Amino acid sequence: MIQSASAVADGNAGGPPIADVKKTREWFVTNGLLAIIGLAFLAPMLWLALAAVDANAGWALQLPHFTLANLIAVTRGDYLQALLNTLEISLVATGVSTIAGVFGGYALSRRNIPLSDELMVGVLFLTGIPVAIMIVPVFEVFAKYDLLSLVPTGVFLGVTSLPFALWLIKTAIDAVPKELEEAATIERANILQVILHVTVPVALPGIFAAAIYSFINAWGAFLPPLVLISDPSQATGPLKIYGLIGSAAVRYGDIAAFSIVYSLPVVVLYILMSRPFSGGFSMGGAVKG
Amino acid sequence: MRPENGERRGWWKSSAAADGEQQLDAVGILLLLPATLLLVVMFIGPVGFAFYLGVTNIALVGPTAQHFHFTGLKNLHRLVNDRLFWESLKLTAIFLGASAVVGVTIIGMALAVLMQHAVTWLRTVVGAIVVVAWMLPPITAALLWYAFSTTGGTLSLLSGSDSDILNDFPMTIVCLANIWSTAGFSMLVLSSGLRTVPAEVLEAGKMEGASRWQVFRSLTLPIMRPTIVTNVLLVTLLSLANFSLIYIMTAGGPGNATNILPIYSYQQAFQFNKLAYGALLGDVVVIIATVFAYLYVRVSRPSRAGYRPQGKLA
Repeated sequence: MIQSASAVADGNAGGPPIADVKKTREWFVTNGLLAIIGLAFLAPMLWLALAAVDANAGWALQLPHFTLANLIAVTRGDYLQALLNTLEISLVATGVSTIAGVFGGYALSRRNIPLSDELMVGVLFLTGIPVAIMIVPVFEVFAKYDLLSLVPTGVFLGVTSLPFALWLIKTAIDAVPKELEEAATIERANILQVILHVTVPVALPGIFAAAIYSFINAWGAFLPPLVLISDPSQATGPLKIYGLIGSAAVRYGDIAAFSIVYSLPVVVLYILMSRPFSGGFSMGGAVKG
Repeated sequence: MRPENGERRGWWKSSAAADGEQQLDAVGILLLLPATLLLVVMFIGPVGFAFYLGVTNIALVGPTAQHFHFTGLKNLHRLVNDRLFWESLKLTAIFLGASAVVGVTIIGMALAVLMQHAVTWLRTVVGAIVVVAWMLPPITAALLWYAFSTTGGTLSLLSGSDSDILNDFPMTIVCLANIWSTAGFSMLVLSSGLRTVPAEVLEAGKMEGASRWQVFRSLTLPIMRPTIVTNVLLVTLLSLANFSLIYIMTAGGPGNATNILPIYSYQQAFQFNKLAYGALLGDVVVIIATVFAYLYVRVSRPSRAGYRPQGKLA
């Protein structure tokens, strides 16, 4: 009977009555506390859900004058452009960190790299450095070489995810049986063929995790695009929301509806991610910025 | 990193196979090159460059935007005498201490423990809410918390007044928002840690007549210690990097009430145009992050097989 407070609910009435009363009380306390914490976590989300469908939304919490106009408005024009910009930046970032991560992770796992253990410690260390502090020098260089636009910013965001991606992919490749690669080599496959047709498919869950991590990281990035993107037509989702909050006539309903549309892909990706790999996937991301 | 036996030739050999042949692996280095170049040019380089910019007179606009030069200890001198910097350092410590070290750890632990014992449907629902709170992009989390705590928001309705709680208790609200948006991570890390506590040990404790709380205090907690330490360090790093949340909610205000170092650095660089001083303030953040990252590497160094740095995939 290991710590099972729900034993009572399971119909286990074998124990003495006093223990039963105690267990029932524990059951109520445990589930009650968890429910209270859950409600506390839910409370801040209420406004978003209500304001998104409210024709007269404001910062205040109120019963909505129901409308779908907000949600329809934010899937068009500027809003759609902002989502496409975010997608572009995120795809570039994902490509950069995943491709460099696969080859680098493979080299660190399989090849004879001098000091590879020390390099991995260095990589682990880099995952802890906040992105915000690189922003002044990166801005300085980007401004000098006229790189203040979407693609270079995407590359930069990809690099900020690279340490964690390298770590994930290297660990995934470590678990691939070497015999598979040996067999392919005997068949005269060259190294690129081995990596792409043998190692990558087997290590795919880990590589996929790294790719999703990079994507979500870039999708949510606020400070790097704020500083590194100068053209308003290239604004990403977060910049759009930030601009809306500060604009003269604030359209609260639009802000709420757009925030939902913008946040949805991240939540969906997380669900996709955690399903096939049996739950518990947690994004690290000291690089959230 | 399993030991090599039998087959010794072949390029797939692990780098760990130290059998004396120390020739350079050109193909391996070539494969590692893209990652290395990217990290050097756009990660390590900028961090190093930030340390140089911190001791120059570079500005965002004006004559020294292009032609800046080394100014020796001038900026450092300014830093030491900057009352706002020390204030900001104190606020950073309060923010990290209250939200990351105390708040997130306690809430994350409470969630992890309660979930172990709760009914399945409640566990699923609460787990989903907490994880969604964590997954939401920083701007959405900031927006939610702004609406939640400003005049007329849910919090002021609950408290029965019409006050602007964000304005009245800025640091408290910002800490709560950080706890709210990070507890999911902590919950997942600590839950997987809890699963590694052997059931027999807990049962033995119960046989000895220990109460639940005693079992938790003197058995579960000590066994969980390494996980808790790792979790605290990671959450501290996450919070230190969470510039957006505070910047969007309060921009460091009202006054300078929530002006933690990453925000003060951004303000100096991009609002007061003092790129050099902003970079120097950023350097202080790097040093703080370095201390925590170093501790973290130290703690997680006894690398168990398949150990992952920040998330647990399994």
